[in-house]
Amino acid sequence: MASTSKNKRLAQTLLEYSLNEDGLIDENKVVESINGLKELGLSSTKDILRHFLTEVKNHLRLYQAQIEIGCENYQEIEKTLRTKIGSLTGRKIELSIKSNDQLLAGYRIRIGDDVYEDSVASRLENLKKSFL
Amino acid sequence: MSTITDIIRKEIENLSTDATRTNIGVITTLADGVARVSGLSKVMFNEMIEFPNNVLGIALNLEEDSVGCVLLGDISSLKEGDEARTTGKLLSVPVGKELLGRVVDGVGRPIDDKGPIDAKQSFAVERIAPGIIPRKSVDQPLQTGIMAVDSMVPIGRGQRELIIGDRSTGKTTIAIDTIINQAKINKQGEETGNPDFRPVYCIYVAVGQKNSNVARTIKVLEEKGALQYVIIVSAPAADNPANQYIAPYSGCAMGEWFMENGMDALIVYDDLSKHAVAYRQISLILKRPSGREAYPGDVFYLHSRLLERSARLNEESGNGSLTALPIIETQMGDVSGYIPTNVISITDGQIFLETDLFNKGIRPAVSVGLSVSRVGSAAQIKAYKKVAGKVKLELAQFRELAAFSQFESDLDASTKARLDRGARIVEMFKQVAYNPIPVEIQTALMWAMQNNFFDSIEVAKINSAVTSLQEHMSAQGKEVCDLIYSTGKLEEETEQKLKTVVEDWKRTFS
Repeated sequence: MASTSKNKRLAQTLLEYSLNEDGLIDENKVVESINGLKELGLSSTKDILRHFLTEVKNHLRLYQAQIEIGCENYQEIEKTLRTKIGSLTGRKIELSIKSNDQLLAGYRIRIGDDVYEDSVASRLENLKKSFL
Repeated sequence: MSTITDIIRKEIENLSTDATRTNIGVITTLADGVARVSGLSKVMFNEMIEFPNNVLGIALNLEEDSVGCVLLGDISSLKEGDEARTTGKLLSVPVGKELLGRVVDGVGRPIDDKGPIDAKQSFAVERIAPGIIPRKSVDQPLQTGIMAVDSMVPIGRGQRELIIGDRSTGKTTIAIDTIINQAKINKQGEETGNPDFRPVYCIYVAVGQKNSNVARTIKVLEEKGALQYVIIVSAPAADNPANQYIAPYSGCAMGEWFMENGMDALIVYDDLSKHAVAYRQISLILKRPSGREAYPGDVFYLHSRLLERSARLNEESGNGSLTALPIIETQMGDVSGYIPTNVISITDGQIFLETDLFNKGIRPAVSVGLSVSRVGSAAQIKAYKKVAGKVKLELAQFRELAAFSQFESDLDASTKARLDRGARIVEMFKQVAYNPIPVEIQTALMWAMQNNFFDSIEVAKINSAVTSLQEHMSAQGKEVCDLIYSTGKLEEETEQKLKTVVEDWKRTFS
């Protein structure tokens, strides 16, 4: 148990080292961290790498947002969205935006495991549930 | 038509139009009613998880990078990669009197083609058992209508009495008889219009049973007019293990509603051996460490937290009660198995049914030596206590003497008398299934036995004599029976009247 928490702490240190000035993951630094760990040849390398992978995945999820918009021409609101999400979360987030006809109208933003949604499709779904 | 339009309009008006925030995850593996979901970082233990196509799940394993969920309902439409979302709610089931007479599945959905259930309330399936303060000791009887049980192992309202035995020894029959007897008493009580009368509502939880057996039970209850007082929760063998795991807790929540609203309820868990097996299956798929017989380490807690929810509440807490009759199936009469010993230690006594007795035609096959009720005579009406006080001892002595006297040709008078009395009691306790005897008739029969009215009748004819006396008491002895029923006592005057009726019967029977 003690070694597991030690390995977790080590993985967190590696993650901190792998971030750039903006707090985002730097691919080159991640490779550097993994190589450095390999060179050390510790018996617990596999466990540390597993924790490191989980940390990287969690970090990536929190610093990336997938936005779906229920219309084709979303370019006009793209800039507003970037500013709003940045100010709301307080961190620089990578955005990927695409249109989704199934929303009918409105938006759906996913950051990590959290989904913020205000679309016609979700309102209709809520209405359906209220009748069941 | 306008009503439907109004309802739709009202729903639309009340519909929240704010942006919603949900926590989601993705199914990574799916097997045997259990899904492993990555994500769901904000999930709570035992939280209800929503999957596509209205499939629900419960979060049981919260791990570092994934969540193990048991799935309830039809999972054939789910696949890896499907989205799962938290609901912020614990799994709840509908509760209330609207469920009486209905057959529902493990999560309280109707499965009897009688339309939707218009329940006003719902209770969380997993709830904390009542603590020490709101409890009261068990002192009110719960009549099973089975002479062998009511006289030797009396059950009180709020008690947990285990029914244990091998397969096909009549475990379910005892439970169903008890339910039928409650229905009879309820009807009788309602007819008298006594405001102090407290009906007992019943919940029958079928876990891992054959569908044909459940259908037969429903038919029996329907034929005996008992279904209107019963809720049947069915999670048959064909159901997925998650439904079998959750069904007893759902049934218990339904029973708790009666208890918390000042009423009395009886719940039958048929059976907890299969419940433990379903839980073992879930635990193994969830990769929880296994212990003895591959059961997980918390299999004791699985049953203790369920059975602790049965209680008798004090006046300040509404005076309600929930009596539990869990059933356990043993293998080759071995009560020292893992699950049997667990449940024996949790409950307040057990009714042990023996295969040998059953095969000899002694039905119900209650073993006198191994059956016990820790509540004892506190759960008997005074009249019955007076006549049945010695019967367990007499029968135990009979069993012992019968074993020793097999090889003896010369027996002293006292031994012979004990053997004769024992043989007659055994015959008297033989009872046809689904035919419970009211407590006032039982009192009369026991009184007649204790006062030597059966001594001159051949052992082989005792059963017909008992039936004859039962009929006589129902017809000619109605006044005495009503007196015993209403007062609950067997005073000198009542005893005198009873003597006259029994003597009258004896003359006609001879």
